[in-house]
Amino acid sequence: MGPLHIAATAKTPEITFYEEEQRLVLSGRSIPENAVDFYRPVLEWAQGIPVDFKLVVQVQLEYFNTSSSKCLLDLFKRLENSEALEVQWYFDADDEDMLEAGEDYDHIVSVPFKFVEVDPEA
Amino acid sequence: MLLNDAPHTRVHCAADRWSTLADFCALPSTENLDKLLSHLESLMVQRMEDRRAFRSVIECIQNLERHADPEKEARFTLLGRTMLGQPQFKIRSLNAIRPKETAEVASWIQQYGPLQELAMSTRSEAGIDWRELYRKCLEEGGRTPRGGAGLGWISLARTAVKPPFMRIIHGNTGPNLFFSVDVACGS
Repeated sequence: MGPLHIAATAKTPEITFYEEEQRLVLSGRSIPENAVDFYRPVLEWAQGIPVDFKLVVQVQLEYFNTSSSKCLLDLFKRLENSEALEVQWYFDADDEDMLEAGEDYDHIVSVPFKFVEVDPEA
Repeated sequence: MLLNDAPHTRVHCAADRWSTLADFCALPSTENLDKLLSHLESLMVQRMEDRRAFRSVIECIQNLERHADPEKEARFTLLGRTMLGQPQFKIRSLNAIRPKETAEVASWIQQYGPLQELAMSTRSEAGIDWRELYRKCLEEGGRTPRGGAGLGWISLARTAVKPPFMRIIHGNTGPNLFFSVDVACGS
């Protein structure tokens, strides 16, 4: 499992693996025209995670399009076999839709989800 | 690129009648549509609750990017009003269908038409469980580089005032797709 850093653009999120903290963070917006191409290196990176590696995936997305939503599902499914994984799903307190989006993934995949409410004014 | 703003650029100050907030008519290139999206975000997203409507706009504009004929002008119109303190939007688009894709679009409309009609004819909340349908399509549906194979439509229907409406209109220059959806914030 190697380093992973993808810089943010106006339409794609920043994706960084913080090795020392064992954290993968996705932040920003994910509305690329071709989500499959964009997420391919992330899925390849996830392929190399040992099953016993303790990893926290923090999803801090503001917007994502439906093709990205399928790629996020692919990522979570690829991590399903990990024994020590937690997804922390961040949502702004007033953003009910983003909370529901996280709940949808929680319903579909067998990965523990923790929902983190953020005060947008803070 | 033609992008007209009506005088009412602040949605929350608009009266309870529909106003044209933006009217776009140009080639549906990535560059043009990115400019449109950025402009609409500044126009629409003034509170956290407004993100719901803007998410629908993202899907609609990206549908143009993925499916409209890039050689012919596409039209995108955003109307807005405020009802009981809540912004509401009408999103409309009209685009030429890509050559050789008319049959595919017609088949797609045929696939979702019954759902559209069922939703329109059902007043009961229990009529269609959009959330369950969304989850099913997310989990089991196909995917292509150009889209989520119907997930976008269900995603729009899930949060819309009523399901999206689509129709093929045959004009002098070929077949066009008319798309329409109404969304409200915080509903």
